[in-house]
Amino acid sequence: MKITKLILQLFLVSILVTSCSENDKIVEVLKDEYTKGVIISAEGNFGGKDGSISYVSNDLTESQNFIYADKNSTLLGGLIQSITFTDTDAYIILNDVNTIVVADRYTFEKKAQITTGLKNPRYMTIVNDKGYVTNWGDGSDVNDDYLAVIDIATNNIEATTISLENGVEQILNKNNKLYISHKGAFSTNNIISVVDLNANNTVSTITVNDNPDDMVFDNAGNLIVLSEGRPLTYNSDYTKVLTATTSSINYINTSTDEVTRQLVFPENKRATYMSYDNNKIYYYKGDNNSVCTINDTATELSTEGIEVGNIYGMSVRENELFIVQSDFITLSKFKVFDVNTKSEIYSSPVGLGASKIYFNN
Amino acid sequence: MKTILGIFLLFFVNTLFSQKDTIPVNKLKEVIVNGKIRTIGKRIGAESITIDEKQVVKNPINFTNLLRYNSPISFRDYGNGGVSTARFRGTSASNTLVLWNGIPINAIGSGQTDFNSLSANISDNIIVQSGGNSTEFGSGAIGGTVRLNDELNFTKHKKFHLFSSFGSYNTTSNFFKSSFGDEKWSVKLASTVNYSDNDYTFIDDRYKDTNGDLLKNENGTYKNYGVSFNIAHKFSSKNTLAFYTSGYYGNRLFSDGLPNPSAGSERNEDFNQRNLLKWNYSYSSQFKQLINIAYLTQEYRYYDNKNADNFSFGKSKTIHANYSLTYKPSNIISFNYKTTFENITGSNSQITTKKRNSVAFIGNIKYKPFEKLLTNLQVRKELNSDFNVPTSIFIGSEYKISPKFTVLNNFSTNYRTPTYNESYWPIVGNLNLKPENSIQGEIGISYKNKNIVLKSTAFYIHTNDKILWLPAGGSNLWIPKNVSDVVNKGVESFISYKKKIGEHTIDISSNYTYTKATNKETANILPYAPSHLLNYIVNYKYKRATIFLQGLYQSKTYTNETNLSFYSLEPVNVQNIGMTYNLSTKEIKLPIIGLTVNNIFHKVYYFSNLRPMPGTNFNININYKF
Repeated sequence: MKITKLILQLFLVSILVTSCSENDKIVEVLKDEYTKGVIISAEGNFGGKDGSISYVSNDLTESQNFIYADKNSTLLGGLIQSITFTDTDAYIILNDVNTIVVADRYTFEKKAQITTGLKNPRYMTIVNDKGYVTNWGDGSDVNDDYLAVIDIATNNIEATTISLENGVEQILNKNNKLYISHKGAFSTNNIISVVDLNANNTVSTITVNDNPDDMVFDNAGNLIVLSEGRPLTYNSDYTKVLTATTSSINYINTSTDEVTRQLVFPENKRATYMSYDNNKIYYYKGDNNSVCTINDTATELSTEGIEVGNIYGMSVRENELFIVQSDFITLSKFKVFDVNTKSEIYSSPVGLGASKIYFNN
Repeated sequence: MKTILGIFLLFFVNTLFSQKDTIPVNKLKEVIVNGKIRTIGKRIGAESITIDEKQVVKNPINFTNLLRYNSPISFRDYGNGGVSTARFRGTSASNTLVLWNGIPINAIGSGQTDFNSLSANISDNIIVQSGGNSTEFGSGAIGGTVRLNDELNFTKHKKFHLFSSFGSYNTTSNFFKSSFGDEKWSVKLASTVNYSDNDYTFIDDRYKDTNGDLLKNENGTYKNYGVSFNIAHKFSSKNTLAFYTSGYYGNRLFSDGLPNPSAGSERNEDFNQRNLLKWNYSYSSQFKQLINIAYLTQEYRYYDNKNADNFSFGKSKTIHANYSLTYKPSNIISFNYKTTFENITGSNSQITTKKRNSVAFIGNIKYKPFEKLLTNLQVRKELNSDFNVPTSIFIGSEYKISPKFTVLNNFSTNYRTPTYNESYWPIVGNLNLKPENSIQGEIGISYKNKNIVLKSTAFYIHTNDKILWLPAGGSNLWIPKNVSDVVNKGVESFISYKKKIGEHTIDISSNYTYTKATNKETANILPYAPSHLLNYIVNYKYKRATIFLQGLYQSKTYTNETNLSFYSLEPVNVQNIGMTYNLSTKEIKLPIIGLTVNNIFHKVYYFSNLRPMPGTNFNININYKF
């Protein structure tokens, strides 16, 4: 008698607790379409499989976190390195799981996934219905970097790849040419690769300064590159700091693919993020946590700017500066600053490791 | 390494040979009663659980699985067979101290133990003790301790125990133990081999491949070998010398889980070797001394790309020696003085060889002022070459209200010293870290009668200067820091019931822990600290047949301190069922054969985000003692 009671109780407890858990949902549904707003991607932690996407409306009245998980009842399941948009789709690049998830760019409903042919994928650009994805390969192997090619119509990966030098990072295209910055993966590099799609994918390189990362095209058609400079390097037992190189902004003429001029930052005043809007270059300096602005024709750097704290990503649109103050333990902060008044006009919490800001209109 | 393998191979061949030799003979042997709970090292004012081979054979595949169904510990593993860490009462993995025959074996780099790289199934018993124990064992014993013990047996005996299981995903777990001895000698030799393709289907149908089919665990194969040997000689009733040695080699691939299992490419090797010399000597009935001298080596090799030759590594050599003198002038009081010396030499791919020395002095008084009350006071002072270690104390008492009811309580202060990674990792290692230190207490009751054992303890742990790796401002560097305080409180209970009616025997045991572990500053619940953790085993035996049911429930577990559902693991609720049949007759001792079905309801469950555990799976086993 007693025994059966006990067993029964143990079972009841487990049944009870299970039934409670059935009600758990990831997040509440808020919108059918995430249009007219800002899309913020959050990396999550490396290996934690908890990258997430947030939405904030252009008028800064609505916001929602975890929109992909909400819409699909699944997680993306990786570290979101970057997102590339077509007119209809979002290509969400998951770095640590070698995967690209294709979702509708407005509803964020999943459409397809690419799980082969990628190794440490970073960024992507789309030309003539083909997606070109930069891949580190093995991060510490300096000889295995490449571009993977995706047929956008079928979302199949193509068998041919384009080999590139070490440390591929961001990728842009202009006039059927691909421009790839080589930040250097786990080591360092100082080139921009140019892949000419009109000339049988021939690769040429342009030497810039150390660790080129962010790139933009200015309205005159120049490629502007932010070379962050080498972060600190150390001796063999890591007891001594050896070098750090300065940051610089390089201007490349896209007709000749030559560096036409450069702006060099002072030593130990590294710049790590760059955006472009309305003939102005915005760059972030970690030494005074400021986003500074110069005209794209300026010949000197400005040092004072909008104090934005310690950021992990930024974007500019129509005199509004969007930044993320990232945190990997608790939620990150997404903030909007008015460029003219230099004041913060909006702040909301977003996912762990928030890093990229995109616009969805 | 080659020598370990050599020893292993040699021994394995022996094992096979002896198997062939003995099975057909069907020697008549006495039935061996096993699983006696040892009281040596029993802590006053604290409860512990002893796990022996009766439980091991129910959950043979790995140590994590065994403890999940038999202890109050919460585990986080990276998929089945992957790296697995243990947490008592919502504390951290480095606050769980693992001891091999009394010697701490946590990795010096991480301060943790991977419970899937231990040959626990060849230990004679495993003692799981919740609560602070730093005065006795030093750094890391904040949440609790897990002790793997080999036993000496100075009676005339010759025992063999062979266990072998084979099941789904080409998983096989085997051990062979042999021991023999007499009044003067005790010898034990044991080995284990475990292997699995581990290529189970991910049954979570929310995640599929591009063709819409379920995905499979890829790159999850593991194999490991363990061997242990001990020999002891009793020179006289007052004088015993024992030598223990064990070796372990594990070779695992690390799977990547969902959403893209083909991304998995890592491999890991573990090499552990442990030796201990133990000398027990009694000068008189009042004076006893114990000397332990241990030498341990541990090494891992991690291959980012399993097909490549280059790896990163971590290795250590530890010399641990202690001397303990007990003076027991009467039955009501005893004094113990112990000195421990430890020398650790460690390095890894990033850290050049570093040495760390410590000496600890421990005083211990057990006092029984009257028949019903037992008290214990223990004080430890450790001098460490790298840190200022706080003095730790332990005060425990047990009061027998009635023959069946005992009230237990203890109060202790404990610590965990910063690990090698925390101290020396290039750039981020922080030599100014202070040891984590805790003030904790518990009060509980214990009720025992013929059929029932009930233990229930309310605990409270306040940990100061918790060490966490946090991203440093303005960079991607993660730096260990002493951060906020954490508080863990809750109730831990154990119940067992056993009744025999005629030829029917029913045996039930269950652990239930309620934990509230919070960051004191933010009041947020800590990651991987489930509020509710329940396991149970119901065992029913009729004549020679046994059927058992196991269950595990873990409530929703957060993976970080945001306490949002997005960053959480759904509740786990999984059951296993098993049947065994003893082929022995009154005349012949034959094996017990068994069939186990794990996850009978084919539940999707996770202990790490998107690293699913297997669906329904089977194993058949043979368990033969002779």
